[in-house]
Amino acid sequence: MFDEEIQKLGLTVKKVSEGGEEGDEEKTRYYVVMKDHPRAIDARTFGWRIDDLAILAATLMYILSRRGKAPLKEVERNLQSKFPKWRVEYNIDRFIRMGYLSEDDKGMVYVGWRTRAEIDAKTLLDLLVGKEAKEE
Amino acid sequence: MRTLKRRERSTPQAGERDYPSDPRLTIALRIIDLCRTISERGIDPFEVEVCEFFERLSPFLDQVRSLEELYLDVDAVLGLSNVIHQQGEWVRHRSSLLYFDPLLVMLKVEALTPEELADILLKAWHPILEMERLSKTGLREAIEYWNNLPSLEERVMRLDAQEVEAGSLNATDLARLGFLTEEAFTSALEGLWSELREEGETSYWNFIDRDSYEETVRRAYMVSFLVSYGYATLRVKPLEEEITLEALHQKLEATDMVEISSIPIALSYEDWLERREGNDGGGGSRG
Repeated sequence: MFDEEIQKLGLTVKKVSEGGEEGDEEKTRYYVVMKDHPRAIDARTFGWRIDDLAILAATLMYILSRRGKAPLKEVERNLQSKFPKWRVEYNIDRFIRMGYLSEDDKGMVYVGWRTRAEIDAKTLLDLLVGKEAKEE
Repeated sequence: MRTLKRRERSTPQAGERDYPSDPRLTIALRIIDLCRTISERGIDPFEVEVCEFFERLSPFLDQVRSLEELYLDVDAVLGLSNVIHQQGEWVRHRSSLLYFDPLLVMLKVEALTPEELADILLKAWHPILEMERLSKTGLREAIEYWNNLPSLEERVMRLDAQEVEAGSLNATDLARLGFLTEEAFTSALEGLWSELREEGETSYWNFIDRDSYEETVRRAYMVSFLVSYGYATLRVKPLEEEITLEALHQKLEATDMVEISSIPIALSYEDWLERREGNDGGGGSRG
């Protein structure tokens, strides 16, 4: 009912299970998210630079392809071939603070709660594969 | 064993431990290290040849001599069981729609420009709605904070800060800080010397005054170098309250028999403004 109402405003309710376990209502969180994706011009008004978006995209693609976790050092090393070191380190810290990534004391980074709530992982990886195929 | 050897080279944990001379214990410890590495670093669990390792471990239980060795055996079996669990997860992940080969993903990321990567993220992004608004409670807290806030004067008094006297910088300091190069300074000095030579004897204030105070100060600063280095001379006429400046066509050497004295000249903004207003009323301005 609520979801139907907010869909009229271009919003929707996203259900996210903590730890990915479906059915455990106590561990389930509901978020109101944008139904459609934002345009590049909208992202700039959120305070995001193109490089920030690109680093988040590359980080998530790398982690998602590694079953949702990867050593931080490896992630940083891979990103540094494409982006300046200082920007990579600054952004990864920022993404951890914002909840897009999480980190444990063994130096592994994981997909964070906010990524599960906001990013459609399947679309992200599909587009990555499709993007180059289209250009070829 | 092939896989085990490969892991030994690639993981610091396996290389850091000093293994005992007893081959039974060494095998158990190596298996434990390998399983831990697989679990911690997210490496493909199928790289562990579980059956082979179980076979190598199987005689260990019969040869156990102490409780510690038994724990070691249990640890190794637990590690291998964990690897089997991870293999199950790996299969589930690979069969899911989310499976993409990590190497393929890395190559594709490498090939795309930041703009293309950002574009992909945007198309998969559904940002959480955030709403910021003022509530009655928030307003009440703000009023309370404002009413309890000491005045600015009181807060400034409490600041534990020391007033520092303004310092001074010479040309060497500026050059050291990267604001001025020696070449640029010499070239500017030569330009001014040449300008002064063309003017002949002239009023000091007419020569240095320009439309902006900054430029006036800069010229006064440069003139002080011309005079100090012996490329120009200053004459002060106290009765007329006049200072004249004249370029010397040949540099004055320290050995020349002339009286050398230092003349401090104040360059205040108010005086400069007064002179400019006087010039505007009475004649043309430079600049």
